[in-house]
Amino acid sequence: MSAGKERAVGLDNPNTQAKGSYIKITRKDLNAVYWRLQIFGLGITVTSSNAQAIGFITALAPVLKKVYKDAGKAARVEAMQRHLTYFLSQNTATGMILGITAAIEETTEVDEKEAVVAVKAGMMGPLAGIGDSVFKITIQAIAGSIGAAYALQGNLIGPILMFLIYNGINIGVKYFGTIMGYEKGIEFVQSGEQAKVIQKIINISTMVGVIVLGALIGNYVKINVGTEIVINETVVNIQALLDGILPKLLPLLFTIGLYKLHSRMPRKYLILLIFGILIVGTLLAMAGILV
Amino acid sequence: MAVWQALLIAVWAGYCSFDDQGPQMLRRPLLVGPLVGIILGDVKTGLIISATLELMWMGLGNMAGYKTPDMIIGTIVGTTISITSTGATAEGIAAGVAAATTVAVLSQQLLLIFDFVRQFFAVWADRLALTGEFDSILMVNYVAIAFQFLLRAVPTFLVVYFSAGVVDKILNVIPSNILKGLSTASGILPAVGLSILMTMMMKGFMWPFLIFGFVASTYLGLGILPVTLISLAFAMLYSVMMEIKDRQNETPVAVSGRGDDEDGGYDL
Repeated sequence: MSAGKERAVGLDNPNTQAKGSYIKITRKDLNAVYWRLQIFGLGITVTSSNAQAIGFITALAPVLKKVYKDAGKAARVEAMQRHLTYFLSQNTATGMILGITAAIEETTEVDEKEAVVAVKAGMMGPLAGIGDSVFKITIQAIAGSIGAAYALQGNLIGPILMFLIYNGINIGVKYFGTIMGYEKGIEFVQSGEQAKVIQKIINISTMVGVIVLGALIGNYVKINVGTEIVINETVVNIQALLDGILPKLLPLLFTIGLYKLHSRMPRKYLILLIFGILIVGTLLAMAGILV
Repeated sequence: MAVWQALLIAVWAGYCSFDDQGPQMLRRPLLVGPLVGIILGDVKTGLIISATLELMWMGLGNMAGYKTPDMIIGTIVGTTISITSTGATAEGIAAGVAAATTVAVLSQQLLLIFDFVRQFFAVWADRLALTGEFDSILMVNYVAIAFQFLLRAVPTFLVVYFSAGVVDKILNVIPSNILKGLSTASGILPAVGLSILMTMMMKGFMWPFLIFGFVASTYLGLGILPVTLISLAFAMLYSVMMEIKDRQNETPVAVSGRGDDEDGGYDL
């Protein structure tokens, strides 16, 4: 209760708050939040009933300890229960959610805490979308394909390069997301400009991702026809014929075909698809149709 | 294989298992597999099989409630089997891919059974909440790390230690043309990973960009890194151009940028 009163002084006068005279949470606390998110993550304690909430409160604990330092036990129990409610997002993007939540926890009165729940619930979905499409898929795929190019030649620089690209971006966003999320607070989510910036990041990374994807198809998918037809005693090599039209035409068509198939096929049949390709491919290769 | 090698591989599997859900710094075949190669003294095979699996499983990840094949145990067992059979030959890589795909599915089913153990964490955490001590929740995490470690370390040790000799014997029985066919077939598999990636990225009219990348690599013979850098410059330029166009459109009607965005969406 006494903590609530203390904070009320700051809240009554928004100017003092803006000048930073009232800020209690330090960079050191935010660093601790980042490190907990980095080490424990969100996944090891995932449950069906509250999803990643245990991971979230573990990372937020350094901030909560500070904010509720002078609060009574009842307030602390309530805070813990509040943050143990359902939370589901993506690891990298959660850095920013933690930062923003820290800012709101710090600036709200005891009876305004619904705001914390509302902001968390409002952000976890959209930020998970960005996290999945940018950090999990695009950057992981680009880093992985650059690394694979070296590793296939037996060069150890491959995995090292992949590790550096992938983690450099991921850890950077996780860390600066936590810091910036706190500093910009709620303003960051609410302003239309920020939504635009996020959209721009998604657009650029999707575009780079798709272009690289095109290059990957040509580089990594290997389908070569071994059949030769004899017409008027001249041997026609089908693969040479296809290469004359467009090099790597079959890999391109096959990948696009699979892409079209995915939109109709439930993902649970993916394993059957992989085994199907392995079996049919092996049979075709044994018959000499594929080399 | 010596016991210490199997133990080291099991410890690595346990750590990667924790990392996959915690720090998330490894997670992928190409980051998990090479160390197995180092432990078994065959770095080259380790790299090649890991890169092959990386491409095959590209775009796969646990999201939206869908559990993917267990890439960690799959990669570790696949790499081990490649190395202990014939090494960096077509047969060795084919055997590794076949083993990795099979084991990854089996392991995924096995791990699913243990999901119920985690439900206990929710009950425990709710109890701890009543104490009002924020850091008491750390204890749940320590237990979770131990659980996550054992989850993959134990089965990996059993499979790696006891299967090494067996796989070699099986490989000797299988006719060599089947193995050769299998290795040709595994050359097609990257198409699966790449097509999954496509389903996630091909929103709106993205085909010209895909073809651009394809042609840059097949006709111009550019590697992945130069293509990435060129496309990055290209995307930045495009984004700036779109911004200028947006601004021109916005001036007559002063509306919020939000509505424009939703319409524009992926209209790159």
